[in-house]
Amino acid sequence: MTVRAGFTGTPMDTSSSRRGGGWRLLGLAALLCGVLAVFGDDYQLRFAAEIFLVGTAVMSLNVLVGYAGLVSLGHAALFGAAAYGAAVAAQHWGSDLLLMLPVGVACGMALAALMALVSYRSAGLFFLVLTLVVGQMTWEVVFRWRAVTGGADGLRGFPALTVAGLPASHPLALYALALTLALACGWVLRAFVSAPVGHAVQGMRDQPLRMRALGYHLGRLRLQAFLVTGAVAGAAGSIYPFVNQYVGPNTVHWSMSATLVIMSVLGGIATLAGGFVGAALYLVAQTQLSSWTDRWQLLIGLLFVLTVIFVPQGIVPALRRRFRS
Amino acid sequence: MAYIVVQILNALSFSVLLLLTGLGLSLVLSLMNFVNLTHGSIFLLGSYIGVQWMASGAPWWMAFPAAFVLTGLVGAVLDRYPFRQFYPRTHLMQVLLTYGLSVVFADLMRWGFGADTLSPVLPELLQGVVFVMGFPFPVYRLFLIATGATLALALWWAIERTLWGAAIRACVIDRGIVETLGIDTRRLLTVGVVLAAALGGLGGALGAGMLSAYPGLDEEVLLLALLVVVVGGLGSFTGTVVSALLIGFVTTFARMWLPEFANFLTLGMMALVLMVFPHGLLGRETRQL
Amino acid sequence: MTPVLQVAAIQKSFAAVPVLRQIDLEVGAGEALGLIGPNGAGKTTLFNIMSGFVTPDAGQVRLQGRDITHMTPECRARLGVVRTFQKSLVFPTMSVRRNVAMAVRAAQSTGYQWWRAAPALRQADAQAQALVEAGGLASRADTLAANLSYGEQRTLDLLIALAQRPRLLLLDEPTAGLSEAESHRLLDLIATHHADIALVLVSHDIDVVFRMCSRIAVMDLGVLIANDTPHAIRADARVIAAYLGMPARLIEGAGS
Repeated sequence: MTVRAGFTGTPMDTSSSRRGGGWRLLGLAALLCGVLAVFGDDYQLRFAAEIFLVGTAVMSLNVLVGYAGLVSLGHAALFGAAAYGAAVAAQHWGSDLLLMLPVGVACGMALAALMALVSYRSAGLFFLVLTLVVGQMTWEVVFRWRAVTGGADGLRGFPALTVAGLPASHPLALYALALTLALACGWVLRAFVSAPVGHAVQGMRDQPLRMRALGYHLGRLRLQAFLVTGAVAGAAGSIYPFVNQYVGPNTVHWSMSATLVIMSVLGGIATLAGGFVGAALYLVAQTQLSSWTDRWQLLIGLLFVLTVIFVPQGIVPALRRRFRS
Repeated sequence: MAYIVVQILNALSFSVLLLLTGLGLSLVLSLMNFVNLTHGSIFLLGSYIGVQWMASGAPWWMAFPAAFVLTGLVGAVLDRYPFRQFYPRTHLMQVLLTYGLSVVFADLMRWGFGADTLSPVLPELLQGVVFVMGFPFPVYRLFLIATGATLALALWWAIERTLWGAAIRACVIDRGIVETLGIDTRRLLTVGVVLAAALGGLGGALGAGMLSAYPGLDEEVLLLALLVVVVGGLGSFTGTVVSALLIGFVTTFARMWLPEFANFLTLGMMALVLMVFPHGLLGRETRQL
Repeated sequence: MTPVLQVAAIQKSFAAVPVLRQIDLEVGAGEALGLIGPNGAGKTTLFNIMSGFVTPDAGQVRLQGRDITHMTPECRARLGVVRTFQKSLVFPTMSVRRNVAMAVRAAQSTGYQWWRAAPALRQADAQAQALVEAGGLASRADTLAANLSYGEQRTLDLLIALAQRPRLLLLDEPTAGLSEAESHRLLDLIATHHADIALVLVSHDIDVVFRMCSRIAVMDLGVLIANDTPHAIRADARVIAAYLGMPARLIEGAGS
């Protein structure tokens, strides 16, 4: 029997063996990471670090959209606000990871809580627009508060990252840090979705009426989903400025949120690993395409549209099926 | 005092633009439950068509029907492919498809029309200013208010007072029943989509004289159109009018008093409205159980 | 002895359409009330009002004497008001056992937990397993709900409701679309768990209603036209008229 999953509306593969091919893919991914660490040059390591950080943000978006059914067009604001928060904090109190992470997580969670509060009574298109609005309000603050955020020029001139006093600005260090963060956040999110609260959140996605009839408070579940995903996006955002020692207002704009959703769909929306695949695909395509044509946005847009039309479930589920057989 | 009157007129001209774009988006959303994020791109296309037409030496007043027809055609093509497969899909998939298309269109337009801001060469009749209580006010904006209001009225009359409009409204409620009456709903809905796109393009052509045309305008207009539709409430013509006026006035007066915070305040107000009215000002909650 | 459910003077209109005009009902513990009537009578709206999804324009709903008229469905569920829906609303991506566990956890208040290994959760899973076995779905305990047959889904739907430890159980057409054998199994399941529960059952299947219920309330066009024992209802002229659409006096004349 096919089931119309709420978010893609396309038949979902509900056979219980769909998790089987995951381990082989994971092994492959680990191999790639190792090879890159040993043979990658500075540029590639920084780029990979960026992929891991953005991928972590997309992974949290996957949980919000794919597992909780909350389609948000304001997720980049959580990531970006944490980035700015960390960069500004670094200017005043130093850039040690032990400060950056809590600042980022706090920023992400605070903004996520605001989004949850504002969209409390809304669903569907109204919810989408509200998350977009809150995200854009954040962008307005970032864009206009030149004194603190550098406005349109973005923020530079903050110290490089350190970890417990030790310098961590070398590309290999950033790469290792970003990878560790990605794995840690993946562990946290996996714990969340397989816990009772995670099941409840998925129940809210599939049968909100039944959940209410069972006694679950949907507002509370929404808040929890927002807080967890906001914390993860914030954690990733806190390291982001240190990859290129720069953070700009584009990171907070709703078009960035839409890009995150694009990456999410490319990779596979109801998966955790899909975030990294989607981020990698998009960022690699962007860099490669922009180097040989000015029309790279056109091509990426086309690629995305084709994916939406022909492979709406995303790449990771498709790969899993192939690896299983 | 006179300054306030001029600002009211400014707000009205902006509201009229918002109304026209909002109506197009709202029509498609209410009619076929389709979220169309290419609406901003179509508005921008209409703006570029308007600018090019007016610069080409052809009769200036034909710029608007030209934009209407050409963007309507674009709408017809999109309806045929790929929109049609996505009408029954979830909002998320529609958002993804139309957003992706809007990125493609934005780049195509940047390629075709360049990255500069283009302003139309206005005809003699619409150039210059009129003095309202001692303050100068662009003639073009008066033209915009008059034309836009007339169009909106015409659309209202078409939807509320004609048989065709009744058929469309019935389709929104229950398409199946309308088909049992022997009416070809497929064609009716296509007309709806084409009309919505044409309206968007026409709005763009009219708006070029006030906002100009530049890459990025599509995103700005899309955000505003979404707000107009959502704040007004789905399926309500009056709601769209009210929210267009609300947003137009709040934006204009915020820009007048607190220019740095204007956008922030407008967005904040809209969020507040949606918090108090989760289905929009005049939207109706539909039966779930 | 306070009845478990009291519905008094309920009125509800949607826009200008009156759906419920004046409804008064009572159900006690261990009692089963059948709610029947032609389509459009307002049965589902009454259910929605009893379970909190719709607020009445006038009147009260009382649970064990406590006024719950304006309480949200979530709060009512925690007080033991349990309902099913006309369609089986099961969780398609979860196994049968987990579907039931969702309800057990809700009743236990462990539904929002993070810690997977907590003893209360293992207890919840065990209870879910027991219920799944009682419902005859033991062989399908690990199957995803989306892959169940229609009859199995309807049974699962009922198991989820029973797992909530209801005080008041509102069943909306529980046997709709089921074969006779499946129907019987479902009704037996209800009967074994019925002891102290107040049950309100909506059904178009008269045999089901007559078998399960000690009283039957008949609705037509938003009013109760009869509220009596099954035997009395069977012979009631007004009831027959409502179903057949004939004026009551014609039937009364014919019946005598």
